Parts: sequence; C-alpha cells; structure tokens
Amino acid sequence: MTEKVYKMQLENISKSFPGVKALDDVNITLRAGTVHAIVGENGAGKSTLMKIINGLYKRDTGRILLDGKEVSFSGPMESSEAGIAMIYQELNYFPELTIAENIFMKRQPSKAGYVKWREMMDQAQKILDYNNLSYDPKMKIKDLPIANIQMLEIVKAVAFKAQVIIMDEPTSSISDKEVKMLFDTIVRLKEQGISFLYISHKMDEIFKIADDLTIIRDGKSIISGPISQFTEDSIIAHMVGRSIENIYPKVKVPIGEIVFEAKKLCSERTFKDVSLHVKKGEIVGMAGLVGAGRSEVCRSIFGLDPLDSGEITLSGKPYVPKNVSHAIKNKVLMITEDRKKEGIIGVRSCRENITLASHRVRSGIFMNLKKEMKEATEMSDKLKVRFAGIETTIGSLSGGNQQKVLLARWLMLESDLLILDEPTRGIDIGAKLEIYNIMTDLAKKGYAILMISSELPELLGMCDRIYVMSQGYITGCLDRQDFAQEKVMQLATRSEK
Amino acid sequence: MKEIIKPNLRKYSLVLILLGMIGICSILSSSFLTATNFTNILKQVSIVTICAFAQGLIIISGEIDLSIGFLAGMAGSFACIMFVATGNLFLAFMFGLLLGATVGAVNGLFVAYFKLPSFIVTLAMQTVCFGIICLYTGGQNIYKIGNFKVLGQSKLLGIIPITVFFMIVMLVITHILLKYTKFGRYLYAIGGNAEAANAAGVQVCKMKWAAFIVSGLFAAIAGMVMMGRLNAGIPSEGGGYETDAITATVIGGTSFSGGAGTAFGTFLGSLIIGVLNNIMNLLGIDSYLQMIIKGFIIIIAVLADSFSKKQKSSIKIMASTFDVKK
Amino acid sequence: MKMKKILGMFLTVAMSVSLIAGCSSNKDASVTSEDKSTTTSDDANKDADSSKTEEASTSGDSFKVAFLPTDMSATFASWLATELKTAFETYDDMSLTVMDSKGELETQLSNLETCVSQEYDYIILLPLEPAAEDDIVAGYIEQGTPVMMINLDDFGVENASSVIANPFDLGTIVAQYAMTQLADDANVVVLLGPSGNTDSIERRRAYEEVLFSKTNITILDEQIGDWEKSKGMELMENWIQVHGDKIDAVISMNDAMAIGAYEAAKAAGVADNIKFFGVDGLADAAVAIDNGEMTATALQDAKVMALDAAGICHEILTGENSEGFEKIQIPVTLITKDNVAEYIERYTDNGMITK
Repeated sequence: MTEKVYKMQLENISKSFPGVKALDDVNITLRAGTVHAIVGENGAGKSTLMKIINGLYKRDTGRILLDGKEVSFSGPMESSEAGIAMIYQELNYFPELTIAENIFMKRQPSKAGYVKWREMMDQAQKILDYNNLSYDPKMKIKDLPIANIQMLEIVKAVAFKAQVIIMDEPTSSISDKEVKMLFDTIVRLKEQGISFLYISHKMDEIFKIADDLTIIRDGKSIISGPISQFTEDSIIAHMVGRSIENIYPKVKVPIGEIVFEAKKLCSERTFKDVSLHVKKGEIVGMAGLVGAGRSEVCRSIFGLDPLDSGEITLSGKPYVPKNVSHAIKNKVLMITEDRKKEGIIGVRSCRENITLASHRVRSGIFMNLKKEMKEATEMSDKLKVRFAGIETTIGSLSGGNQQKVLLARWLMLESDLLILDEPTRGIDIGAKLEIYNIMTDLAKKGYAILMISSELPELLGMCDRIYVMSQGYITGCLDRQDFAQEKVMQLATRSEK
Repeated sequence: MKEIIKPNLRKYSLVLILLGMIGICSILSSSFLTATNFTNILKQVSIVTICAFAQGLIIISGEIDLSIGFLAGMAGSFACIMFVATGNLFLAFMFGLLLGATVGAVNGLFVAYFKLPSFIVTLAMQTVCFGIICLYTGGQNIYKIGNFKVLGQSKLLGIIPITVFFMIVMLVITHILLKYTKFGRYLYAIGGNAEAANAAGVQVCKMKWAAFIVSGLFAAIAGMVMMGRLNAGIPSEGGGYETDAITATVIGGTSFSGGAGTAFGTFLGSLIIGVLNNIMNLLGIDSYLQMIIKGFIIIIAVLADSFSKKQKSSIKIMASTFDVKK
Repeated sequence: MKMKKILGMFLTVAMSVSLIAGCSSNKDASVTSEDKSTTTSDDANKDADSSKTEEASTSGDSFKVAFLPTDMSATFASWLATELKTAFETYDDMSLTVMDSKGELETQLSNLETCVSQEYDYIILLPLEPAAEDDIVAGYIEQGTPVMMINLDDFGVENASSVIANPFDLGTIVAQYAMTQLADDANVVVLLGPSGNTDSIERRRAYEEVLFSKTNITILDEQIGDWEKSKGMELMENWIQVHGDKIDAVISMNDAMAIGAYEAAKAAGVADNIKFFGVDGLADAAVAIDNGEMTATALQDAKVMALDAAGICHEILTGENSEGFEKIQIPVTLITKDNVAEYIERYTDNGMITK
C-alpha cells in the first residue's frame, strides 16, 4: 500500500429531492492507488452520489476533498479538469465518428477553429500504442466491440490525466474474457497511483478487484472497510438490512408428466439438434456462455425467431411456432432477455402493461375497464409490485418491479410452458429474492418453467434440471443431485463435433 | 382517487391553457364571448380536428400520415362527382369512404408490411391522391354540387352546425377507439415499443395497417364535410390540413415518439389554435403579424404543456422510489 | 435533330428496361444483360418508327413549342393549357408540349433549362415570379431561343414576346364597376392572395387608385386568404362576428375567396345586404353571378390569350415577324348579371360547367 493519504474524501454528504431524502450523511474515503467498491440495492443512492461528485447535482450539505483540499464542481467539465473521470453504465460515445475523434471529443487540437487532423491522429495513435491497443485511430467506433469502447473510455480518461476514475456497473454488458481484460487494466493503472470508485452488483467481481468497500442503503453509508472484513453473506445482509440464510427458496414439489417436448430443433445459423423437455412443476435451467444459442432456442419456440426444423409437442399435441400470438394461444409464454427493448411498453401504465396480452379483460373488441382494473390490481398485489399506483408509467419503476409487472402480464394467461430469459438481470438482491419466490410458487401450482440465466449460482439454486449448451448444441443435462459449478462449466466450454 | 386524477392532470393543463386564452380573449374583444362566435370557432376547427383525430391515431402508433390533406381533397371531390352523377348522397358518402379506406390501405400496406418509412410513403401518396383527382377533373373544380352541401352547411335541430356534429361524432368514435377497444390499446403499445408489443403477442403489422385504414376513412369524412362546407369540390383545398393536424395533435399532448395521446387532448389542441386564429381576426391584426404571433403561441403552448408534464413525471418517479423504500 | 431524338428515345427505353431488369433479378445478371440489350434495341427501333410516323402526320419540318404553366392543378393554368392545345392544333407546322411546374419556381426554372437544352424552337412561359425569371429568360433569348411571357409579365425583358391580361386592368375594371354599386361611405373588407403574389398586389393597387383613394370608403379589415375558398369563408365568419351588418361589400382579389365569403354570409343570414366582388371570371364565378350571389368579376380570357399567343408564335417562327417579338395586351372583360349568360353558355360548352 502507498502512504496513508486519501485521494478523495466525501464527508457528510446529504441531498434531498422534493419528498425524498436521496442521500443522508454519506462518508467515503478513497485511498490513492486503490479500488473502492460501492455496493447497494438499486435506488440506494449510488448514482445520486456519483452525480454529486462530478457536479451534475449540487449537494445540500457536506464536503468533497480532493488531495485534502475542498473542491466544488459546477459540472462534469470542471470535475474532469480536476482529474475525475466518469465511466457510465450506458457508454457515451459517437458511433459514427472515429476512435481519434472520440478520444479527443471537446479537446480536439485545433487552430482558429479548425481541427488539426494529422496532429489528432498522431496523438491518438500514441495513446493507443501506449495502452497496447492495436486499433487504427481512423476506425469508426461503431465497429468496435462494446468492451473495447469501454477500454477506450478508460484509456481516454487516463490520457487526460484523470486521477480518480468512477465506474458504474462496468461489466454489465461485457463477456468474462473482456472482464479479465478490464481488470488487468485497472490493476495496471492502480500501480500508477490512479484510484477507482467501482460500483457493482456482482459479488465475485468485487472480491476480485476491490481493496475497500462501502455499503450504501437507503441513502446512508452503512459500513466501510477493507474488503477482507467482509464475506458475500455479510455484504448481502448489510445491503438488504437483514440476514439471509438461503437466498434460493427452492422447494421440492411433485413433478408431473411431460408438458413440453422439443426434438431436434434446428436454426440454420444459431443452433442445431436441440432436444429438451420440461415436466409439470419442474424448473428447468439452460446454462451456457453468451452466444451458446440458449436465447435463440427459446425465442424460436416462442415464435419470435424463425425455426428451420424440428418437432415440438405440447402435452402430446404437435405445435409449430408461427408467431407470438400463435404461441400465446398455445399457452407458450416467454419473458424476453432485454426488458427495455422487448418487454415493457415504457410510456404506458402498469395496468396496461399487465393486461396487454390478456383476453380475459375484454369482451369482443372492447376492453372491460372495470374487470381490467380489478384483475390487474389483484395480480400486482399478489406479486407485490411496488408502485405509486397502478396508473404509474412502467418506465419509472425499478428493474425488479418492471420484471414483476411482466410476470403479472403472463400470469394473467394460462400457461403450459413459461420461459424466463435472464429473469433477474439488473435487479437488486431484494427483488431477486421475490422473483425466486414467485417462481417457486408457480412450480407448486404446476407451471412448467424453462429458465435461462448467466448466473450459475441462480441456476444451481433454483432448478430441478439444467441443460447446458455450447456453440449451438446441447452438450449435457444435469439432474439436481449432480449439480456442480465445475460440471456445468465443463459442458459449457465443450465443443461438440 | 389518486389513480383516476393522475393521468388526467395533463389533460387539465390544456384545459387551463384554453380557459386562460378564452379569458384573455374576452377582455380583448367584446364580440368574442358570444354564442355565434363560439359556433364560428367550432365550425372553423371542425374539419382540421377530424384530420387531427386521424393524425393522432397514426402518431400514437409511432408513424405519421402526411397524405391526410390531399386524401381529404381527393375523396371529398370524388364524392361530389359521385353525387352530381347519381344524386344519391348515401352512395356518394360511401364512395368517399371507400376511397379513403383504399388509400389508407395502400399507405398501411407499404408502411406495415414493406416496412417503408411512413413519412416517405404518405408524402408520396399526397401527390398520387392529388394527381388522381386532377387527372380526372383536368384540374377543374367541381361546382354546382347541389345538395351535397348538406354535409357541410346544414344544421341539426336547427342549431348545431353539421360540421360540428361530425366533429363531435368523430371525437366520440376516436375516444372509444383509443380508450375502450383492444385496437386502441394495441396502438398505444405499438407506438410505445413496437418490439415489446410484438413480444407480447400484438400483431403489429395488422394493427398498423388497420390504423392507416382508419386514418384514411377519417380523412375521407373530413374531405366530404370540407367540400360540403365549401359548396364545391375543390381538390387543392385539402392540401396543408395534414400539417395543421400535426400541430393540433402535438399541442394536444400526443407524443411525437408515439405511445401517448388522447382524443380529448387533440380536440383541445385544435380548439387552442382555433381560438387563436379567431381572436386575431376579430382584432384585425395584420396578416404578417398573425403568422409570427401564431408561431410563438404554438411554441409557448407546447412548452407550457411539456413543462407541466416533466414536473409531474419527476414527481411520479420520486413517489415510486419513495414507495419502494417503504 | 432527328438523330438526337432517336438516340434519346433509345437511351430512355434502355434505362427503363435495365431498371426493371435490375429490380426483377440480380442472380443471373449476365443472362439478363444479354436479354436486355436485344430487347432494348428492338423496342427502340419500334419506338423510333412510331415517332417518325407521328411526326410525318403533322409535318415534315415541325416547330417544337413548349408551354410552361405555373401549376396544372390550378384552374386557370389548366384552362389556358387546354385552349393553347386547341389553338396549336390549327397549325400543322407547330407542335406543343406542356411541362408542369407544380407551383414551384425551382421546377419552372429547371423546365426552362430543359427546353433550351432540348432545342425547343419556342417557349411560352406562364411565369410564377416574372421578376425572378427575367434574367434567365433574357439569357435564353440571347442564345437564340425566343420566349413569350403569357398572362403575367413585368416587362423586364425587352425582346421577349408578351401576351397578357394586365392584372392592374383586371382590378381596374371591377373597381370601376364597384364604384357605381357602392355608396361613397360604404364599409368593405378586403381579401388578398398569398403574400408577394404579383396578381394580388397589382389588383389591389388598382382598387387603391380607382376606388379607395377616390371615395370615402372605409376598409374595416384586410387579410390574406391565400386564394382559398375555405380561408375566405373563415375570415368572413369572423368579420361578421365583429362588424355585424356594417359590412357593405367584400372586395376579393380572386373569385374563390369571394365565393367563400358569400357562403359564410349566407350561413349567417346577411348575404342579401352585401355585395361580393372577385377577379378571374371562371366557371365558379359565372355560376355565382348567375345565381345573384356575386356582383361582378373580371375575366382574363384564356381562349383569347391562347389564340393570340399561337398567332404571334407562328409569325415569329416562320419569320413573318422580323423583329422577333411582339407585346400585346388582351382586353379584359367585366362579367356582371347583364352579360353572364354568355359565359355560362361558353363554360358549359367547353365542359367547365357540367349540367
């Protein structure tokens, strides 16, 4: 460790919005050359804190010290000049511009208003070379994989003398290999004395990369200390404010006959010879690396993507997927992976989102508004959706509550097979637990559930069986008694044929 | 209670703007606050309002229909021709509707099934519509349309101008379509997020297609009422209504990005413009000055409305995060 | 010249065929292109043959004349086009082509360019904005393509021919009649055309000089109605609201707006006390005057204009007119209750009024 000097200190930061105290006396000390993780549930106040640091919001009380001196920024430009760089979850970049232009955005070397192109290209090349990135600075950003764009943001921050880099969920959209690349960079920069504030949900990452940890709950900094003081369970307990014995509420339910069976499903590009079945009351998992074809198989079954060949039977009756409404008629339902893109109608109310697919609340072409209100309210109560009212627009809810509304949408209908694609992605721990509970309840009621997840512990905790896919093939099927992380990983990385 | 008031707040902000305008106008001109003047305003906005209902349906579903004006001109003029030829008003009306539905169906076909941008398709359809009617009439207007004018100049029960009656009927129809039918629900969903709607089993193409047909029908009705009011078949009179309709819809709170908007909002938006035009003429304000004032008032109206909307939505988000924490 | 025409036709056909072929299949590109070359030459030959015969039927050495109207969907322009076609049919050594500008100055200018590059022998221009087009027209005349301004001219080009009904005269003739119909202290409202429109400006100027400056008439209000009937109607509704029965006359710069104002007045039950004056004198106005709805209008007679234009055109092309240009003004006619029957009959004959 370096000498005991604090790079940045946040002292007694408070911030109120009308009706809500978003931050309440938050204290964080960031040591030079370390990674300080900040964890907390969604809505705990992490992003407000970040915005106060870089000057987007004005704090009500408290001080920010940088190298021991009090600072106050009126906006991101000032904070970045002082050496604080933000790397957001949603990356800010200009897809149609070149790497060089993106690096030098707002800082272009220029003369009398004209950009000096050659100088900019040369400098960009130098920066890339220095960081061992083998890209042509004239390349357009949109042609890069997302992880490299992120890397560029970091490189850019460092090139412009950032001393503190704040990262908000940096690994939410990149692969494991890319995560390793990111961590290598962070370690290298740490050695150069650069400090990181690292916001994340992912426990394994935090334990891998962080030196210190602060847990925020309900706008307060609950506890701070070196990472060695914490265990995964203790972090979760602090985050949700209660201790959790077993976060996976798996209950044994009687397994019935086969409800869904697929044989030799093929789709030209993405998967081949996929055979699987799900029984009544069963929760079946699908594991695999990103790009293994799990989502694609399920999307084809649901009629969202084309299916080239294969046979499917539903309770013994043949079923050929045509389109989504046809799938729904045949009681095959699916919650898609990308909630924002293919799940919620963001600008509409929870009520409308819940009843969008329901025939029960209609008579002919007309809506039965009374019945709709009654049933939607009942269903959202049952799933404990938290909102200001059922007319709240769904886009303003947290991820967990949005997911519950989507579950409610399908629970309004009868279902033979319910497919859940990454049902807990981007959801905080508390809401995750509730989703698991709902799944368990559904299994008890005899639902057949097919669940895709990239979080292995979740699959191991919730499923009765797990199919593992790799490169478009099913490479194995494990029963609950054989569950083990290593076995799944082995199958997931196997290449067949 | 809370649930019922909230979605209506936005609508009320428009009502307040309108009431404010009416208040100011009645101070500015003594002839403003009279029954005949209000009838005048309603008569003057009725055709553009019907067009705006059509435009509203389309904008809610995330598209745009620029063919409305010229389609109205074409369908209205052809209905005149049909009436002059047969003397049968019902037949002429049905013929107009058929034309409207046909053009709408063509628009919808290209937009929904061939996935062409609606802006381009309907822009092209403008000239097709105008071309067809001009080709038929040789660029001449249709005069002596006889009793066709009852569609635009008669009065129901001796007091309600027929154009206003049509507008109210279309208001009710649009309101029912949007609020009480699954078609309306689907339009909102498609406009809000077409992919998500598709993943929820909404037949996006079919619904969009249907929306354009409905829009075509509405435009045809507007066109026939227009020609009735003009007591002549003048194809070129339709041009420009599509943009006026867009203005009314957007002032009425319909989101340009789709997924939001109401029939009443559109109606109020149209009335706001109508009152504005009316008072400026009553005051005898110079034509050029009128253009400038109108432009700025429209911006102010939209600004005031979007401001109140922003505040409300941020409060809503606060409330919901607050709720979560409890 | 003929070679060029054949070549042009060949290219057009080749282009359209290749377009169709290109759309229909791109898999067997080589095969299609072979097919294409054979079909195109066949088609082109055929087309060239037919065009030869067509021309032969008119004349061995025909003059190509282009007519560039403002907007074929406008009533007057399309009427003038029809009359010009009829007038040109009587000459067997001239052929007329119509190129529409769809109300866009930009389109009209590029049409002009096309005419010159296509080596038309004569251009008849119904200008959208004469002042804006003068320089270009002057240039083309210098290069050897004679041009005639029809219906509207600001006399900015010295050696361009000109056949017009002076908009000022049109205004004057109605204004003079209005003077006899209105009391010296009458109250009027005025409807104008689109802002910047030459016709509207000139007609309004005539009213000013002939009527408004010479009497004590009060102008209650004056607004732009964009030539549209619906605008005229809307404005009148509002005027009746403000001025009630004070309005003695509606002075409109065209007929459509005047008739629109009449419809509004009729609905309000005040039409009988108001006189309506328009300009243009087309079928709608004739009917309105015949019904006693409008009081008077002035006609710019497209038929007279077309006959004169064709005559001048022929004289210049055949060299009968050695000067190379001629400027005439056709007389404008006042239409009132007294002579309207004549025009009703005429418009019924040429199909503009259907019974």
